[in-house]
Amino acid sequence: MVWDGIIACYLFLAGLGAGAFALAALAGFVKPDATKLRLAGYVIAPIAVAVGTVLLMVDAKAGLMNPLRFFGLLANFSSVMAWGVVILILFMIVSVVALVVMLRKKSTPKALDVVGLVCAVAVAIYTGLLLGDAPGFPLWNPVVLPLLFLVSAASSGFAAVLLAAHVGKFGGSDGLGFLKKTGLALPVLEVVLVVALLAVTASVGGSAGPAAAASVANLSGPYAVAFWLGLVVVGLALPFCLELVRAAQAKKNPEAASSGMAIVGEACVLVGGFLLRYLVIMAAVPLVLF
Amino acid sequence: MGAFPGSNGKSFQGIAKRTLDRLQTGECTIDVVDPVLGNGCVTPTAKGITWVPIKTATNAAFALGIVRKILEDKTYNATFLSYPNYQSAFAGGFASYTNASHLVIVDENHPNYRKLMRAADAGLEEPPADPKATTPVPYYVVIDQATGQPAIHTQSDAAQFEYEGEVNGVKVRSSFLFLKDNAFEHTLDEYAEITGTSVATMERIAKEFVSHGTKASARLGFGGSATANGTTGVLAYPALNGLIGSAQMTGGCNCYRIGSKTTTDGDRYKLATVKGKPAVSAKNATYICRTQKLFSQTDEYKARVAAGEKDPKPKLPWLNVPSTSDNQALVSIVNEYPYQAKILVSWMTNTIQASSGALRDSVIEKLKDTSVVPLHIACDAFIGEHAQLADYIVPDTTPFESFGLVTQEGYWRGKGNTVRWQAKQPSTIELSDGRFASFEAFCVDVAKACDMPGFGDNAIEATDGTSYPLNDAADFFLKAVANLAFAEEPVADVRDEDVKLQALDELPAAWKEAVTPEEWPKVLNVLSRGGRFWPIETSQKNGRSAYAKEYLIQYYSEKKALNKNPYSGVHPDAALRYVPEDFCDRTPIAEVYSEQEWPFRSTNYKPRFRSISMQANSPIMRDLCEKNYLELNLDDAAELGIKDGDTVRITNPTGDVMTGEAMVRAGIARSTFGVAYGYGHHAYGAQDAEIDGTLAKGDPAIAAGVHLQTMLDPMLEDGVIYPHADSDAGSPGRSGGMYNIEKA
Amino acid sequence: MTEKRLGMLIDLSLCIGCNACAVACKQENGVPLTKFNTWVESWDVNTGEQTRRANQPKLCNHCADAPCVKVCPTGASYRTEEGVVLVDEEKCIGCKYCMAACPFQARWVNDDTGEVGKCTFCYHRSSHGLLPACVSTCVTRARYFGDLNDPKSDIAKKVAEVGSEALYADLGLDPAVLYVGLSQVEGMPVTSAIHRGGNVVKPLEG
Repeated sequence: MVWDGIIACYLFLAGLGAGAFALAALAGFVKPDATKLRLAGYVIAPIAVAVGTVLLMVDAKAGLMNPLRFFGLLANFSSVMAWGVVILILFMIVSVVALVVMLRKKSTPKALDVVGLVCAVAVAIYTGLLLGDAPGFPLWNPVVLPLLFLVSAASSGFAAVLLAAHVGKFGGSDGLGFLKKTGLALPVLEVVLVVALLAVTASVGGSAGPAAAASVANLSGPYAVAFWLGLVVVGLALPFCLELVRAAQAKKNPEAASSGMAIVGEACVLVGGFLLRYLVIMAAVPLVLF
Repeated sequence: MGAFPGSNGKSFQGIAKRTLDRLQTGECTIDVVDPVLGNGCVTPTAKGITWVPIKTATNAAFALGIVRKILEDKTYNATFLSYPNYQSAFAGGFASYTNASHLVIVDENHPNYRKLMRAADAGLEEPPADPKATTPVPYYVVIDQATGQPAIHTQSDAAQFEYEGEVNGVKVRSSFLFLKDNAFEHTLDEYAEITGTSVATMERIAKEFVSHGTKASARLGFGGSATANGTTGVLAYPALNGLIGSAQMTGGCNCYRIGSKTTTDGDRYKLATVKGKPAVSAKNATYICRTQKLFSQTDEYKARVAAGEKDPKPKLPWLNVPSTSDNQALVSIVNEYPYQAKILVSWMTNTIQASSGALRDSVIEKLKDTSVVPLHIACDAFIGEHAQLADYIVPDTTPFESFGLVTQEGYWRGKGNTVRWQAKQPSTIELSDGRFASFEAFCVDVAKACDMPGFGDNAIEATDGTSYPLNDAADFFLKAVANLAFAEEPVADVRDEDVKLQALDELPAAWKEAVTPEEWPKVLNVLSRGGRFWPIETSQKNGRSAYAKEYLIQYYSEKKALNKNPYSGVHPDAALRYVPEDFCDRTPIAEVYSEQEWPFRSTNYKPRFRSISMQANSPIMRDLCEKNYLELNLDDAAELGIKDGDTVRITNPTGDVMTGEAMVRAGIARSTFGVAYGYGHHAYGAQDAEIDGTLAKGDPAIAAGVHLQTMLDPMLEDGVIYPHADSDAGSPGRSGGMYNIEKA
Repeated sequence: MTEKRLGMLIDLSLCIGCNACAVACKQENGVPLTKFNTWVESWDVNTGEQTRRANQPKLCNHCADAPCVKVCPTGASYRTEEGVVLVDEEKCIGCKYCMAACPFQARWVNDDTGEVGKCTFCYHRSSHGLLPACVSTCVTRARYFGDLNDPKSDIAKKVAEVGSEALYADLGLDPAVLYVGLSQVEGMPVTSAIHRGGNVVKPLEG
């Protein structure tokens, strides 16, 4: 294994931070007065990404021991990682500015949010492109994986913000109609993309064939519990069902939306979001097989 | 058979290189008959080489299958077999002869029954004795082909080798007939069954073997003798080579290990002569390892018979073989028979790790017991399983820190010696006089303390009469190099460039002082080249090795025939014969323990990533290979329900249990399990050791793997510890044996 | 005028799996324990007629189109004029992206410094016309080394004589390490576990 849990954490936190920002920005477009919710998003975003980035630097042991070497990171732009450095820097700048502005003015200029949204999408997608550019691991498909990470980032980021809102008991989420749709749509989209990833991987031929097949087999082998129970049931199916139940409840009685169920749902999404990144890193089998 | 080219054998590198070179040219084909397929020259795309899986301990049967086919087809070289002496064979273009035509007395009532007939038995007159001869020359009897009459073997040029009849009223048979009888004892189908090979393979090899004149060779390596019937198997290769006359021939079973006089009395120094040596001879001594004597020749036997005992039996077997035996010495010491070892001194030896069956508590407890071994001194660079038990350990140097001059092993037909010299300063303790602790320094100091001649001042004499001191290894070995450098014709002086390139001007002063100024530049030349090697063209002459000496292949070994077993009275077969493994009284092991209950045999091969007793302490080598496996054939594993990587348990009839990881593979013969030697250490760094009050913690990684434990011989009296060994030669039954395997 | 391209040709009929190359490299290059620049994989095969044992040395392939060079963010991974792929340890931050990118998994990370290492074709030797340690120590001369683009070099002549194949040729990486007999050996059924040195890396299935 080239990378392990630390990198999985980074991927999760970066995606989560990007998604949190996206929610704050999108909410600002449709319901600017959901200030507490939006603030939660603007706070979570830079912190999550910063913590993730620190984890990255801890994992890069040679850089950690010789920090000046990190300044060399912008040397080779045929490397997606170099692009990633740029993207992370831009996102951090924009998200911190947005946070400061939000704290002072309780609102943000639309242009800032649009730029920030673009950066957030970049943060969410680039890691998928980074992995996809590494031919050593056939599981990391360069087309499906970025899309999957984007959906997962949105899902995790939204869940984190909503979790904060429900736990902190500040509302605003109910006014965001699109959230009810995303709550159902994102898990479905994620399932479709996971299936697509596995299908595409299973169809890989040539030299990469055996490793690709082994990666897929891993998910019913040593990683079966993490995949089926962790990701599929807890991370995708359960939140989907809970969202359906809440939607049905809301139809009957708009006021009595259960926040307990919501919290469970959001927590499950977060678990699923982490496990997705963890499985992508750990279950991937290198081309040489051993 | 028994030395897998490219996997083991001496030296495996030289053999591997030359084997593949020759195979690539299509100049030769090789059949590697071995229970285990090693990494080596049998690569998937190499041409002309075949691995023939064979059941352990059946080499003699395989050879006899081939012999039988050759006898059936009469494709042996009859002319060669008819030569009764070396001179006739040599005149015929060969470099060896056999005793195929020598007659054996088969009359049970004759006093010389079982012996080769001598001139006196035949009523023939011996030629006048050579006044210069120190030992009497035996004169055997043959039936001369031309006259059809009995003759002395040196007085016939061609003799019959399938004669049965009477000479001088004594019933006799040609030696060759004993081989023939034994070969025809089984059908080819039976030989195939016994060995686990096929009739087609034996027939193919037989046909190939006789199709190249003297340019074919059967070689039985050392591993092939490490079974309890190993010495009978070793007879296979001279027997086969004798059918075509290839011994010592170019392209045949050529000579090797040809060196010059180095550590003996050479051209510059008499290193084997000690002035004032005490007049003590070992001629009638009894070796503690019980070799070189029949029990009936011992004082114990004579005393017990005189005391009225009928047919006394010895506590441990006596082995009438001409060498000494490490593992039998260990057994003797542990059992305090034939006498106690009051002082045991060992050097660079790990008898417990290396003697199969000896790494057990009962042996270790005995060696620890000061009433069994009052004083035990070990000289070793490492604290292995044997040195661990010593009362004193004298530090020794490693091969990189010592000297040695050896000849070449089985892959080189030329003449020469390699020179190993100290590549680095020893890491042992430095003594007050600047020498470093080593076996050589130890010997010198002990000898000087005992006032023994040949050590200290005026110890070594040069050929010009000058005396030199012997205080350390360099004093001795540099002189040996001088002997090599001046042998026959002195080599040139070393070139300045070589001195510069190899820093030969930075060698210790003691080395230069060990030889004369005239010798030093020539000694440096030899050191620079790592030895001295005569031109390869000079090694062959007229189709033979230029170093061929009188060489006899015995189809009938009189000495073996007379080795009456002290327990059962059975005489060993004098000719090559397939004899299943037996215990010390010649009872077949399959009659004592059931083959149904113990269906497996072991093949215990030399490891690739360490040596038999050393290198388990090398982290690099352990990274390459952390442990050994118990290797099982695919079909055997399937029958036992064992999968690759399963933990398996292997037991033997003595009750030893070995557990390890199974390696299921096609590259091992059926009914056999393979296990590499050198693993499962108890010491050698696996153990904690306190040295000068500091604890050196053991590394459990050194102990990884399985140590094969062979069974004990149950046929001796209670309390005797005797690991299973060859009943005739006492060599350890490292491979073969009887085992049961099951999934753990 | 064609550029010099250093490369290696390994004749699989000659490798006896002695692992001398693996050890020589470690000692020449001071490779940390448990890491290897070159190693040998061994396993039993069924040739269709017999059982034999395959031995396959592996190492960094010094690809012309090296993914490890492409993905290195600091440029620590680079390719010399002669096509040798090297790592400038002073620039390496240990992100290990190159290790993920290499399909041959030929790189390793130094547990103490965090820097990534790999086979250098013994550049300190080969840039002066000497052979890499593994090549010069090979007991059976199974490894050839030299300028692939020089028709007079031993390696180019051997390639011209017997042809050559590369690992994972369909990936289009244009490796500089070539084999003789590769597809022959790869086509034979495997009848034992696969060993790296003497350690099992892939158990026998079924």
